[in-house]
Amino acid sequence: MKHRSISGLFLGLACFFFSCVDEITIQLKEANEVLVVDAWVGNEPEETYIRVYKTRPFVSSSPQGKESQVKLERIYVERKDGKVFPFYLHKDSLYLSELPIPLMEGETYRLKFSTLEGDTFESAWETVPPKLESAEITSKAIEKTTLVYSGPNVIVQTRTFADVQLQVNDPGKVVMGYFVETSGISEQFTSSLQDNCECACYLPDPNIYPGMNIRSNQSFLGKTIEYSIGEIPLSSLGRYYVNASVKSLTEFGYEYLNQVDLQQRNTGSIFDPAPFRVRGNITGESENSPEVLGGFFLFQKTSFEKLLYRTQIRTESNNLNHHFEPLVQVVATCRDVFPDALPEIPKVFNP
Amino acid sequence: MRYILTFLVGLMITFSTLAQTNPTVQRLKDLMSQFESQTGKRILILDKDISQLSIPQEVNNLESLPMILTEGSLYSYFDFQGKYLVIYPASLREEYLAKKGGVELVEENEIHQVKGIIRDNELRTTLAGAIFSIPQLELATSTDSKGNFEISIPEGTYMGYFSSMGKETERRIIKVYGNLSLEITLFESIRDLDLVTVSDRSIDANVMSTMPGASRMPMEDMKLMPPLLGEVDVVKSMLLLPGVSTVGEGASGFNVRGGGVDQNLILMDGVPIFNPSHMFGFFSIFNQDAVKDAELFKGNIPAKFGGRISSVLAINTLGGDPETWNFNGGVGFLSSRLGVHGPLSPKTQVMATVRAAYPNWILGRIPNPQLINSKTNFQDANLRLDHRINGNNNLVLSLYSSSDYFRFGADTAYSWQSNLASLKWNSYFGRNIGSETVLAYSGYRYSVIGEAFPNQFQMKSSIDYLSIQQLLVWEGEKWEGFQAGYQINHFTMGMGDLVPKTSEDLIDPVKIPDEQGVELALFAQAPIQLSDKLQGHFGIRYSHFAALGPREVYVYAPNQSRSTERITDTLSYQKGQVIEDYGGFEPRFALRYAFSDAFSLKASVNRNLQYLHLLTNNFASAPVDLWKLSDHYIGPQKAWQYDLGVYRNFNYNTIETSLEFYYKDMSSIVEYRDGARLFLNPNLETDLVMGRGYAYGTELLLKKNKGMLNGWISYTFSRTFRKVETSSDIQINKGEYFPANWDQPHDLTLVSSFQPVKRVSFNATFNYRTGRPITLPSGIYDIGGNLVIDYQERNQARIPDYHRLDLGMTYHFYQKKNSRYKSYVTLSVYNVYARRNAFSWFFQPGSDSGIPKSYRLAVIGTAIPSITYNFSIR
Repeated sequence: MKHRSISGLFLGLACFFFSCVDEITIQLKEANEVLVVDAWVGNEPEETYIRVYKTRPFVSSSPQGKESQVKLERIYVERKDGKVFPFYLHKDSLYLSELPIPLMEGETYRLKFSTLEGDTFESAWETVPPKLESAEITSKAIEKTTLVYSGPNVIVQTRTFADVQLQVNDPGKVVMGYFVETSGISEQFTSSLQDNCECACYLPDPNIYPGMNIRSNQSFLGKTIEYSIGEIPLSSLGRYYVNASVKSLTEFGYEYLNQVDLQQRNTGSIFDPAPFRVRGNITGESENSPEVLGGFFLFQKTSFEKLLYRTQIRTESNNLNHHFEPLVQVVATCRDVFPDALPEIPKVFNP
Repeated sequence: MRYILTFLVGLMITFSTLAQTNPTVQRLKDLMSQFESQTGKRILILDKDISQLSIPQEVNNLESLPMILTEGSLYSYFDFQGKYLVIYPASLREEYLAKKGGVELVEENEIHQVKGIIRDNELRTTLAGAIFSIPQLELATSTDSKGNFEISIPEGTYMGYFSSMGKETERRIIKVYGNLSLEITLFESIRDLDLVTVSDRSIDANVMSTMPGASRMPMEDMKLMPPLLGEVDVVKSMLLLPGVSTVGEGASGFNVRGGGVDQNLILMDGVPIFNPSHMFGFFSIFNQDAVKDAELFKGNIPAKFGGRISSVLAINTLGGDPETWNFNGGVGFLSSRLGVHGPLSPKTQVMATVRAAYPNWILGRIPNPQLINSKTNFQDANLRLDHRINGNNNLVLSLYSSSDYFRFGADTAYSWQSNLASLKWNSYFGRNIGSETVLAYSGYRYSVIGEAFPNQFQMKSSIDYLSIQQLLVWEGEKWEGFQAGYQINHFTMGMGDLVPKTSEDLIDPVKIPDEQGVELALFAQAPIQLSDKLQGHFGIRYSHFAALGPREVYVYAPNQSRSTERITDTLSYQKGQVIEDYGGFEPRFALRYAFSDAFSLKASVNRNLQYLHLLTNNFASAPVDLWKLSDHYIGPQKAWQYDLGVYRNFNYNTIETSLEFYYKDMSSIVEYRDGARLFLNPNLETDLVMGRGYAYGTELLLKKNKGMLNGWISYTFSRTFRKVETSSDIQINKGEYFPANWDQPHDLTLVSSFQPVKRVSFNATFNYRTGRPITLPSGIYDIGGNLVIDYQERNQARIPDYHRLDLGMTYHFYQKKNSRYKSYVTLSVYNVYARRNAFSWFFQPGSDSGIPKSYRLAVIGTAIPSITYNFSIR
């Protein structure tokens, strides 16, 4: 009883010192429908697309509704030398390039389109950034304090994780941004009394980095640096497959995504900027043209991958206090406890 | 909560029982209180004389109370200024008259001037409004605002009485055979019956003063309010006054009459303070043991003050005790303080205080990994030396230093330090000219510290302010109170310096060049006394500011918004070279027409210029926000304020009311562009725009300042709007007016203090105000699979209204008559009903599904009890 009272007091003081955040539902009276352009042109044809649509209403805790389409008369990407790459309506608001776009580092492009209402829009000229040719995934064990929930009790424990890092050899040509998306597949073991148990499952992690991993190379232009791209727990035995896709972005691309990241990390405190509209690089040709959100992004993508052996990482960090989760016992297949497991063993895990 | 309330009620009953008052004395107290309510006159009497009086069971005609009390006794009484009745031993008067009768036959007695000063032992300062009386002569006078009195007395030997509110009355034999100078120190009374109830200001000051919108709050009054975490807080006390508000708990500074937090000049002993908050406003930087009083000028600002367009908050520290050494302090749950003061020599006194907060031991016990890695603390110290050189000259050295550190989680920390110093030389040139010369320094260092490898860094900014100012005051009969002087301020602003912690960190050092500027001001202010009823003052201030080199100034393409792409040239300025200069006259004019002693009308007009700006684009001002000087692109902020007020006192000035109207026209203000980057921006002017604004409001105050139950109710209706008219690509709210972040139309405050017996007081405050403006989402979209929220125009919605109740209790422990140790304990509960007042709403994609979610941030989401033990030894 005494312990609970003291904990309550401390939690109350925590609420005092470090505030309380509650999820709320807000009914917004007004919602603007603003034109949005989400245009990505890069060295990966399957990731080159343009979406033109209108904003959807913000409804708290409600899935995004269907985006309303905007009918266009023409949409294309123009190279500075006058070469035009038209896009066609593929589905809904999605436009794909009619021709392959042979992006070359240093070339300059812009987006132009016009609507059926006669408004014409164009983006600023953007220059194709260099591709990140050389990078390597590394990892090292770290200790972190985490909360462990045991029934009604909350216990603070120190657990070990592998800090997955990307060693980047920056080409040092221009100031640009890196946008890294890290996914993975975790090998999870279970145990069973049956001999023919499917006891190893492979769980996809679409993103192992909390938030957006966006960084400018301004502080390490032409240098080699190593920075975190995610964390994986070391409390299980199985291996872990890491895939990092690195998009080189123009300065505009970096600034824009950085603002989006800032918006997503906003916690309403005195250190956070008051909300504002993120402005892109597309404007109307006439003064009366409606505002356009979003932007025209040029990128060069490179992917890096690595299979991490948790046992090896632990062995190399014997000084840390590693903790192991006991194996879960299943009847015949680990899918009983991991229903989202991949249907087959990914090739990378095969010997 | 139930336990706390039970505890409080239990204490209340216990203390009430312990502090039973003698029924006869209580009856006398009640009678005197009724007499005062009916006649407006206060009865002054020595405690030891009470038993000699005839205290009736009841009185039919209260006006005859003094006669009834003295009837058949050896006492008599006389009326003083129509406001006080002094009861004294009749023998004194009879002896005098007998002697006088004899002497008069021979020759007329010579008249001598007796002047003096009455000091307060407890607060180590002078006592304004204290009374010096000589019953033999039926003569009395009261001290002025500096504790001085002067009176003409015929030659002779008399018994003099020196009295003040809550003090032991001092009796002294005074031999007047020439001009005489007296210095008296009064000690605090702990008796149940507070016989001498003299205010430290004129009873009708709110009606008769010529300053509309001015409030003075002694530390004694602040102690009557419920403390937050056991600390009496100057800034929180000011927030209870009409026209003063804050955007929420945790925000630095305060807003006055529609002005931003940077538009308030906060002075401690004449030195400006750039951040008055510890721990984001939960504590103020003013230690209660070091503060004498605080004055807030929100209407007409005296000409001697300048540099801000909204208000002036002048904090005066205490001087050391000239006679004995004293120690005082307090031990609280999260912070403690200790002070010492006393005489170093007959001419020199010292006052020193230290204070520290230690919440880390709590944070370490909270089961939250982020809090375990969090740290916060602060320390501060005051030192003041008073030295009397001779009768006409004295020096005051005042020093202050504070340091704050705050780290939430393991990654980012914030720290800020204030260092203040002032040397004040007060002197009299001849009989009629007083001079106050102040050398002042204010240093403010603030930094954001990255503590995660390989991104360890320190981002530092700073302000160094140096000033010399002199104020000359004419104290002759004609034009008494005429003031004139000058002020020269020099600013050096560290605009940002990013330094990696180690060579292995991935941080490129960045240095934004410092800004420098100098401000010169000349001012004069003259009293206007057209008649007893129509009085006021006229002041004029001329200020001139020059932004100085060395600096490089970018030139942008004309007639377009400033952006880095539009830089056309770079101008280089050498050290000391004037980059840009601004100046202007700042008239200050105020008039008061008194219909009677209890009813007046006041009006004022004043203009102010401000050359220093706080840049913030956050939800509220933070201690690490950047300050910037006016320069080639950012002009001064300018405001005219018009003020009209009606002041009416009732029931012999025991109830004060006022109704004030104001309109503020801000023809030039500084705003930021959407998405502005204010730190480490070498082209800061590209993210700033000049705008204009206006504010208006009505302030109503109803105050009861006498009796067991006293306090006030204030209601403010106010609006404040801003507008930026500039090129289309940086328009805010489509170029239309939008509400400022601190636009909170309705603000209601109730403050009450209940003191049933001398040792125990209960206090409560309640505050209600409209929720502040906020920018809401209008839609969502996604870019590359990342959810983006599109927002409406700036500040078009509001968060829910704010309201909060605080309760407190103070109990003074029993003190033996000659005891040197005195102590009291304060208990308080902040936010009694634990309302989660929203500080902000924010919107994020949900971490699990990417579904947009809305959140409410309540900085204080629970009831906060506190207990502090306070003591003093002398």
